[in-house]
Amino acid sequence: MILYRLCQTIVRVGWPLVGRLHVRGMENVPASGPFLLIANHQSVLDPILIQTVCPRTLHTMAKSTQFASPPMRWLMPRLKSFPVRRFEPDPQAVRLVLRRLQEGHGVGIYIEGERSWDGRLQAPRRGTVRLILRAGVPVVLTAIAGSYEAWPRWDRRLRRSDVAIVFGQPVQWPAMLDRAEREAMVDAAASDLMSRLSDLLDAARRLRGG
Amino acid sequence: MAIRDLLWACPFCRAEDVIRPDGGGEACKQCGARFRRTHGAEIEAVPAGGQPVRRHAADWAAELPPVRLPAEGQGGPDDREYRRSAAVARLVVGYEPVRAGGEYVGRAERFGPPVQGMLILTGRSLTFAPTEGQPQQWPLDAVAAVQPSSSALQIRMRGGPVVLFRFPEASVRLWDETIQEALRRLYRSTGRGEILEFQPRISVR
Repeated sequence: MILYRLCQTIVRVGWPLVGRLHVRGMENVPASGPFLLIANHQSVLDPILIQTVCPRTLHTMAKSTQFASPPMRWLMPRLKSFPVRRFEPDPQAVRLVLRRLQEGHGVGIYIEGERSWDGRLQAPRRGTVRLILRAGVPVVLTAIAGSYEAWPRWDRRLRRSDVAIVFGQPVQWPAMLDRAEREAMVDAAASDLMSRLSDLLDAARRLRGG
Repeated sequence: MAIRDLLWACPFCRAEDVIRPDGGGEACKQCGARFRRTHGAEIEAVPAGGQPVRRHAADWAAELPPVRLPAEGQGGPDDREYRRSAAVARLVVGYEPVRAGGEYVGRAERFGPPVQGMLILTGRSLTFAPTEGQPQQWPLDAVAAVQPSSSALQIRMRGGPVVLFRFPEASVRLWDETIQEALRRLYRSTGRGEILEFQPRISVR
């Protein structure tokens, strides 16, 4: 927890060198109890910035290859990140999300599964939608805008850019423990989630002034 | 990571896989247009003999043509070559446990040494021909998942290895799109339906 808080402090102190950070809707993050934070993904900066401004400690799913080196395998879990293998079904990652939620924590997942190449919203990963339907906890949709301009996927350099983060009002589906019931809902839930996330992204872009 | 990963075709001459590193920026080796990142996610392009054009990356990307594959033979996908690029391959040779305060939270890949060679995609197979040693060929049918990761492409073979390919010069996004398109064609031609997603495993509707 010490490293998590230290990282938050470093980002809060250091980010003004890169740009302004606008945040709206922090009151939408539940003060207690489990929740899923479902965000769009534009840049490597997203988890760092969202974890910094989120009023609750956030356990975040990250691609397993980020844990490949021993230093990262030491650091990432201390920043509350856990690995998910994206190229094959990963039941361990699903179990861990459910366990963290049962423990009353917040868990962050990037619903597109990877950073956007062009900054636009991509299709959601159906596995994440299934997980949302299975968990049955409040879902805080969160949009981040401007991180793509600071550090897009196709470049190695960080540039100055204002960033805006908007936390949406929680939405919730009842926990669907039956697989057939979940599958019947996946398309409709995915469409609903992405429509809401798109509206939030527009709001974040307006907040950023772009 | 480079502009050519995003712009896998030149916005001016429309040719695929022609933007390459050039001095401090990147340039189209076919028409000579030059590209560089300016402010934010803006890309400045200078066509040969023309004036600079600055646009947001998303606007440039929106103009990309769809990935084109060679025309399909009468009998469906065959051994015609779709794409070939220099590549560096790394095989997943094992896994390391990841723990948080003693609690097991998952596992991470352990990669073997990088191997330089050539990656070749045809209508029916994917072949990696190392600079030294025997080529490895996988039927396209054996591809179980395709996942771009940063500047690399992870491909999982059914019952076989997970291989990570990096492309020193070519566009990873173009390779991702081309393999996906080749798989869609193969699945359609063999009556397996439309592919719904490529990760965490290929699934069809």
